[in-house]
Amino acid sequence: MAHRVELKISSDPCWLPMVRAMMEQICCEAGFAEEDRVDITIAVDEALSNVVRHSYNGNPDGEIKLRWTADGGCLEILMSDHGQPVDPKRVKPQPPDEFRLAGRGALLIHATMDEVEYRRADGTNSLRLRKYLKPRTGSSYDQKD
Amino acid sequence: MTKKIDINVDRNGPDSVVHIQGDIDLRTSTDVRDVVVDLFENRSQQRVILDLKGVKYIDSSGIACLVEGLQEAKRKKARLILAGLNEAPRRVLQITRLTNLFEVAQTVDEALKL
Repeated sequence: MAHRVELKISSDPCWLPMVRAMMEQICCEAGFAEEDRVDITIAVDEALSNVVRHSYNGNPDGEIKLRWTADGGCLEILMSDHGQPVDPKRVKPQPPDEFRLAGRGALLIHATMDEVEYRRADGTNSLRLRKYLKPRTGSSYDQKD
Repeated sequence: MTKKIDINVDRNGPDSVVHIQGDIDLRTSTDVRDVVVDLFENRSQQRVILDLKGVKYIDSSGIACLVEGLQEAKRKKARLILAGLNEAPRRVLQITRLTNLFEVAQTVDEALKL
Protein backbone atom coordinates (compact mmCIF):
# COMPACT_ATOMS: atom_id res chain seq x y z
CA MET A 1 0.00 0.00 0.00
CA ALA A 2 1.42 3.43 -0.91
CA HIS A 3 1.97 5.94 1.87
CA ARG A 4 1.64 9.61 1.09
CA VAL A 5 2.37 12.86 2.87
CA GLU A 6 1.52 16.26 1.42
CA LEU A 7 2.65 19.62 2.69
CA LYS A 8 2.21 23.19 1.57
CA ILE A 9 4.58 25.81 3.00
CA SER A 10 5.57 29.37 2.31
CA SER A 11 9.00 30.01 0.80
CA ASP A 12 10.35 31.15 4.15
CA PRO A 13 13.63 29.47 5.10
CA CYS A 14 12.33 29.10 8.66
CA TRP A 15 10.61 25.91 7.47
CA LEU A 16 13.83 24.19 6.44
CA PRO A 17 14.50 22.58 9.85
CA MET A 18 10.94 21.31 10.05
CA VAL A 19 11.16 19.69 6.62
CA ARG A 20 14.51 18.10 7.53
CA ALA A 21 12.96 16.66 10.68
CA MET A 22 10.00 15.35 8.66
CA MET A 23 12.39 13.71 6.19
CA GLU A 24 13.99 11.73 9.00
CA GLN A 25 10.61 10.37 10.05
CA ILE A 26 9.31 9.75 6.53
CA CYS A 27 12.48 7.91 5.52
CA CYS A 28 12.32 5.84 8.68
CA GLU A 29 8.73 4.84 7.94
CA ALA A 30 9.72 3.98 4.37
CA GLY A 31 12.39 1.62 5.69
CA PHE A 32 15.58 3.42 4.67
CA ALA A 33 18.86 2.80 6.48
CA GLU A 34 20.43 5.70 8.32
CA GLU A 35 22.96 6.58 5.64
CA ASP A 36 20.20 6.83 3.04
CA ARG A 37 18.05 8.88 5.41
CA VAL A 38 20.91 11.38 5.69
CA ASP A 39 21.31 11.44 1.91
CA ILE A 40 17.63 11.94 1.19
CA THR A 41 17.42 14.73 3.77
CA ILE A 42 20.39 16.45 2.12
CA ALA A 43 18.71 16.28 -1.29
CA VAL A 44 15.35 17.58 -0.15
CA ASP A 45 16.89 20.37 1.90
CA GLU A 46 19.05 21.51 -1.00
CA ALA A 47 16.10 21.41 -3.40
CA LEU A 48 13.97 23.40 -1.01
CA SER A 49 16.73 25.95 -0.42
CA ASN A 50 17.07 26.37 -4.17
CA VAL A 51 13.37 27.14 -4.51
CA VAL A 52 13.57 29.71 -1.71
CA ARG A 53 16.71 31.35 -3.07
CA HIS A 54 16.30 31.14 -6.82
CA SER A 55 12.69 30.46 -7.78
CA TYR A 56 11.35 33.02 -5.35
CA ASN A 57 14.52 35.16 -5.10
CA GLY A 58 14.37 35.11 -1.32
CA ASN A 59 10.75 36.30 -1.18
CA PRO A 60 9.23 34.41 1.79
CA ASP A 61 5.66 34.72 0.51
CA GLY A 62 5.80 32.18 -2.30
CA GLU A 63 4.11 28.80 -2.10
CA ILE A 64 5.91 25.47 -2.18
CA LYS A 65 4.17 22.12 -2.31
CA LEU A 66 5.83 18.92 -1.25
CA ARG A 67 4.50 15.44 -1.70
CA TRP A 68 6.17 12.28 -0.48
CA THR A 69 5.03 8.91 -1.77
CA ALA A 70 6.51 5.64 -0.51
CA ASP A 71 5.48 2.70 -2.66
CA GLY A 72 7.07 -0.63 -3.50
CA GLY A 73 10.56 0.12 -2.29
CA CYS A 74 10.71 3.61 -3.76
CA LEU A 75 10.38 6.98 -2.07
CA GLU A 76 9.37 9.74 -4.43
CA ILE A 77 9.46 13.40 -3.48
CA LEU A 78 7.67 15.89 -5.69
CA MET A 79 8.41 19.55 -5.04
CA SER A 80 6.58 22.24 -6.97
CA ASP A 81 6.48 26.02 -6.94
CA HIS A 82 5.20 28.92 -9.02
CA GLY A 83 8.41 30.90 -8.97
CA GLN A 84 10.74 31.88 -11.77
CA PRO A 85 11.89 29.26 -14.23
CA VAL A 86 15.04 27.49 -13.21
CA ASP A 87 18.15 27.98 -15.32
CA PRO A 88 18.80 24.45 -16.67
CA LYS A 89 22.48 24.91 -15.86
CA ARG A 90 21.56 25.11 -12.16
CA VAL A 91 19.83 21.74 -12.27
CA LYS A 92 22.87 19.93 -13.61
CA PRO A 93 25.65 19.15 -11.18
CA GLN A 94 28.75 21.28 -11.71
CA PRO A 95 32.18 19.67 -11.54
CA PRO A 96 33.54 20.06 -8.05
CA ASP A 97 35.69 23.15 -7.62
CA GLU A 98 37.19 23.44 -4.20
CA PHE A 99 36.99 27.19 -3.81
CA ARG A 100 33.77 27.85 -5.68
CA LEU A 101 31.39 29.47 -3.24
CA ALA A 102 28.14 28.55 -4.97
CA GLY A 103 26.72 25.76 -7.10
CA ARG A 104 27.09 22.72 -4.85
CA GLY A 105 23.37 22.23 -4.36
CA ALA A 106 22.76 20.40 -7.64
CA LEU A 107 25.80 18.20 -7.02
CA LEU A 108 24.43 17.22 -3.61
CA ILE A 109 20.99 16.42 -5.05
CA HIS A 110 22.31 14.29 -7.91
CA ALA A 111 24.85 12.50 -5.74
CA THR A 112 22.31 11.46 -3.12
CA MET A 113 19.23 10.54 -5.16
CA ASP A 114 18.75 7.75 -7.70
CA GLU A 115 16.61 9.84 -10.07
CA VAL A 116 16.27 13.58 -10.49
CA GLU A 117 13.81 15.10 -12.93
CA TYR A 118 12.98 18.78 -13.44
CA ARG A 119 10.08 20.01 -15.48
CA ARG A 120 8.41 23.35 -16.07
CA ALA A 121 4.85 23.58 -17.33
CA ASP A 122 2.07 26.15 -17.00
CA GLY A 123 4.13 28.47 -14.83
CA THR A 124 5.04 25.71 -12.37
CA ASN A 125 8.46 24.29 -11.58
CA SER A 126 8.35 20.62 -10.62
CA LEU A 127 11.25 18.65 -9.24
CA ARG A 128 10.82 14.91 -8.85
CA LEU A 129 13.33 12.97 -6.76
CA ARG A 130 13.38 9.23 -6.33
CA LYS A 131 15.34 6.97 -4.02
CA TYR A 132 15.11 3.21 -4.06
CA LEU A 133 15.46 0.99 -1.06
CA LYS A 134 18.62 -1.05 -1.28
CA PRO A 135 18.02 -4.80 -1.10
CA ARG A 136 19.03 -6.18 2.26
CA THR A 137 22.02 -8.50 2.10
CA GLY A 138 21.72 -11.98 3.57
CA SER A 139 23.86 -13.43 6.32
CA SER A 140 26.90 -11.44 7.26
CA TYR A 141 28.94 -14.62 6.87
CA ASP A 142 30.09 -15.36 3.39
CA GLN A 143 31.94 -18.59 3.61
CA LYS A 144 33.92 -19.25 0.50
CA ASP A 145 35.85 -22.49 0.21
CA MET B 1 11.18 34.82 17.73
CA THR B 2 13.02 31.47 17.90
CA LYS B 3 16.79 31.85 18.01
CA LYS B 4 18.20 30.21 14.94
CA ILE B 5 21.78 29.49 15.98
CA ASP B 6 24.03 29.98 19.00
CA ILE B 7 27.58 31.13 18.35
CA ASN B 8 29.98 31.64 21.25
CA VAL B 9 33.63 32.51 20.84
CA ASP B 10 36.36 31.65 23.33
CA ARG B 11 39.45 33.70 22.55
CA ASN B 12 42.84 32.92 23.98
CA GLY B 13 45.56 35.10 22.49
CA PRO B 14 45.94 34.24 18.81
CA ASP B 15 43.57 31.24 19.07
CA SER B 16 39.80 31.13 19.07
CA VAL B 17 37.34 28.33 19.54
CA VAL B 18 33.95 29.06 18.02
CA HIS B 19 31.25 26.94 19.65
CA ILE B 20 28.21 26.56 17.42
CA GLN B 21 24.83 25.11 18.43
CA GLY B 22 22.24 24.69 15.71
CA ASP B 23 22.15 23.98 11.99
CA ILE B 24 24.26 25.96 9.53
CA ASP B 25 21.84 26.44 6.66
CA LEU B 26 20.38 29.13 4.45
CA ARG B 27 19.09 31.04 7.47
CA THR B 28 22.22 30.97 9.58
CA SER B 29 25.27 30.51 7.34
CA THR B 30 25.97 34.24 7.00
CA ASP B 31 26.02 34.58 10.81
CA VAL B 32 28.73 31.92 11.03
CA ARG B 33 30.65 33.37 8.12
CA ASP B 34 30.62 36.87 9.62
CA VAL B 35 32.03 35.61 12.92
CA VAL B 36 34.79 33.55 11.30
CA VAL B 37 35.84 36.23 8.81
CA ASP B 38 35.86 38.85 11.57
CA LEU B 39 38.21 36.72 13.68
CA PHE B 40 40.75 36.53 10.87
CA GLU B 41 40.26 39.95 9.31
CA ASN B 42 39.81 42.19 12.34
CA ARG B 43 41.09 40.24 15.32
CA SER B 44 44.28 38.77 13.86
CA GLN B 45 43.52 35.24 14.96
CA GLN B 46 46.10 32.72 13.84
CA ARG B 47 44.07 29.64 14.55
CA VAL B 48 40.28 29.36 14.60
CA ILE B 49 38.72 26.07 15.64
CA LEU B 50 35.05 25.57 14.80
CA ASP B 51 33.45 23.37 17.44
CA LEU B 52 30.75 21.67 15.36
CA LYS B 53 29.62 18.93 17.72
CA GLY B 54 26.41 20.87 18.30
CA VAL B 55 25.75 21.16 14.55
CA LYS B 56 23.54 18.41 13.19
CA TYR B 57 23.26 19.76 9.68
CA ILE B 58 25.24 21.92 7.26
CA ASP B 59 23.82 22.69 3.82
CA SER B 60 25.63 23.94 0.71
CA SER B 61 25.38 27.56 1.87
CA GLY B 62 27.00 26.47 5.14
CA ILE B 63 29.78 24.78 3.19
CA ALA B 64 30.24 27.97 1.18
CA CYS B 65 30.68 29.96 4.40
CA LEU B 66 33.28 27.46 5.63
CA VAL B 67 35.13 27.79 2.32
CA GLU B 68 35.00 31.57 2.63
CA GLY B 69 36.39 31.31 6.13
CA LEU B 70 39.17 29.08 4.87
CA GLN B 71 39.99 31.49 2.07
CA GLU B 72 40.25 34.30 4.61
CA ALA B 73 42.48 32.15 6.80
CA LYS B 74 44.79 31.41 3.89
CA ARG B 75 44.93 35.12 2.99
CA LYS B 76 46.07 35.85 6.53
CA LYS B 77 48.38 32.81 6.66
CA ALA B 78 46.25 31.47 9.49
CA ARG B 79 44.43 28.18 10.09
CA LEU B 80 40.81 27.11 10.25
CA ILE B 81 40.12 23.72 11.82
CA LEU B 82 36.79 21.88 11.91
CA ALA B 83 36.20 19.83 15.06
CA GLY B 84 33.45 17.39 16.02
CA LEU B 85 31.80 16.83 12.65
CA ASN B 86 28.56 14.89 12.92
CA GLU B 87 27.29 12.46 10.31
CA ALA B 88 25.32 14.75 7.99
CA PRO B 89 27.95 17.55 7.83
CA ARG B 90 30.64 14.96 7.25
CA ARG B 91 28.61 13.45 4.44
CA VAL B 92 28.08 16.85 2.78
CA LEU B 93 31.83 17.50 2.87
CA GLN B 94 32.45 14.06 1.41
CA ILE B 95 30.02 14.48 -1.49
CA THR B 96 31.37 17.94 -2.35
CA ARG B 97 34.91 16.52 -2.20
CA LEU B 98 36.02 19.01 0.40
CA THR B 99 37.12 16.49 3.01
CA ASN B 100 40.75 16.98 2.09
CA LEU B 101 40.52 20.75 1.86
CA PHE B 102 39.92 21.32 5.56
CA GLU B 103 41.90 20.39 8.63
CA VAL B 104 39.55 18.20 10.65
CA ALA B 105 39.74 16.94 14.23
CA GLN B 106 37.46 14.63 16.20
CA THR B 107 37.28 17.01 19.15
CA VAL B 108 38.27 20.53 20.13
CA ASP B 109 40.96 19.10 22.42
CA GLU B 110 42.45 17.22 19.51
CA ALA B 111 42.26 20.35 17.34
CA LEU B 112 44.14 22.36 19.96
CA LYS B 113 47.01 19.91 19.69
CA LEU B 114 47.28 20.21 15.91
